[in-house]
Amino acid sequence: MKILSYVLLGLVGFATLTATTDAEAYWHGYRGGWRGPGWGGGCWRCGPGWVGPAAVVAGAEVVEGSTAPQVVVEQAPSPVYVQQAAPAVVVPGAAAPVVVSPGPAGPVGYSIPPIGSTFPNLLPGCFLAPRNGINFYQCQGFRMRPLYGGNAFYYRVVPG
Amino acid sequence: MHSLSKIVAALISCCILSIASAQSTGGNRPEAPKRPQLPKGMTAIEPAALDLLRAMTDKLSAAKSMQFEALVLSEFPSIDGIPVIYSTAAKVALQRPNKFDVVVWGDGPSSEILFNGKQLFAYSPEKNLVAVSNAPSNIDEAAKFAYDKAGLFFPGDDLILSNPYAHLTQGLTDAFIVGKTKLVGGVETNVIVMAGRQLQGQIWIGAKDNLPYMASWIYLGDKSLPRTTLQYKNWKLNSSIPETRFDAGRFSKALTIEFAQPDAPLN
Repeated sequence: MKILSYVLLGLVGFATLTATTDAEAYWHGYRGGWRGPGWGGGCWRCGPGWVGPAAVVAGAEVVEGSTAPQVVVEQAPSPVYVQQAAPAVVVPGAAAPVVVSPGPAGPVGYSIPPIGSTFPNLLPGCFLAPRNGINFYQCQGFRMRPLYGGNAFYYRVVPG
Repeated sequence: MHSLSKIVAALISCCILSIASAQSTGGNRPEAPKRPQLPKGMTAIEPAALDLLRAMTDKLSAAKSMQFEALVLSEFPSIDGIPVIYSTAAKVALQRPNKFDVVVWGDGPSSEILFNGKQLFAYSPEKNLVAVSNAPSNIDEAAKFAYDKAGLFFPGDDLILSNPYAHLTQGLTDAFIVGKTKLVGGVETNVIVMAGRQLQGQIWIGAKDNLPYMASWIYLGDKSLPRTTLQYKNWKLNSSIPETRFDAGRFSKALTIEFAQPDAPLN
């Protein structure tokens, strides 16, 4: 009986402590560009979370680290270097930011990104290919679906 | 045997309490630093500060329509960890009970968020994309829907709600009046400090018109403690807003897409 009392006492404590946590949540609305994806724009050395909107031919790629295979978007021929953000590739499960230096100039091409990867911009060579009433872009060996989420437009790699 | 059962029971209780305690302080919710002991007679939340806040929110919630512009300066750390300030601007129009439109531009892609009472739109002029979704039929629920569905937020989204006072004071731990200044917004403003578990900052409220002219917040939930400052100007309350502002027809040539958080499953 006493055991039951102690357990009940513990449960009351548990309920009290956890119930106050969410009640004190203090979401305050606008966070500006704090989380990056809503922004983009010119930034040479933006930190993790930053997602730039610049063209794919810009300088360096910022790739958020992942356990998934690294995604490398190779440079387009005669890249136009602008003082703008690089294309950002956000891979699901990213743990830490990894900065990949610009690749050598060469023909447009890239490895197939992991399913679920997101890009702030459409990759070159992709074309609109709607299917079942949904707008997709067909790329080289994979499809991208334009979406809005996380306060920004983005393109997600989907099967097919 | 009897004492053994007591010990076991006590251990179980301790375990449960420890787990509860860990959950209540864990996750990504850092605690605000502990406040020093206040002198006698001084309260953490000054009623006069809340009165000024209440006067502001009453005025905003009573407005049938609202238009204002916002300049937003947001810190975001570089790879070096050095805070970099980015700026955006927004033009906000709201028509109660069920319409708002927000045009955002600046250091990044432009966008427009429209709620026409039935549907929510997010439009990108550069990409010529428009995300569309059916939405709840009032501003409060539509704003919450937008945040839940797409992480969508915009400057002033905490001011356009039907009860901004409740929203702004949720979780409030400290509020006090700093004084007055004539250097913000071109008018005399009361400067109020507010703090909670996740935010600390100030708001500048017009001494005569009770409108907000600036707010500056530090987000305690991020270890880099980024600050976002919003400057509000060109307030127009209860003025006529052309219906065309809330007409989604201007997005008709854009490619239609869906709202989805980056990690959300897709249909």
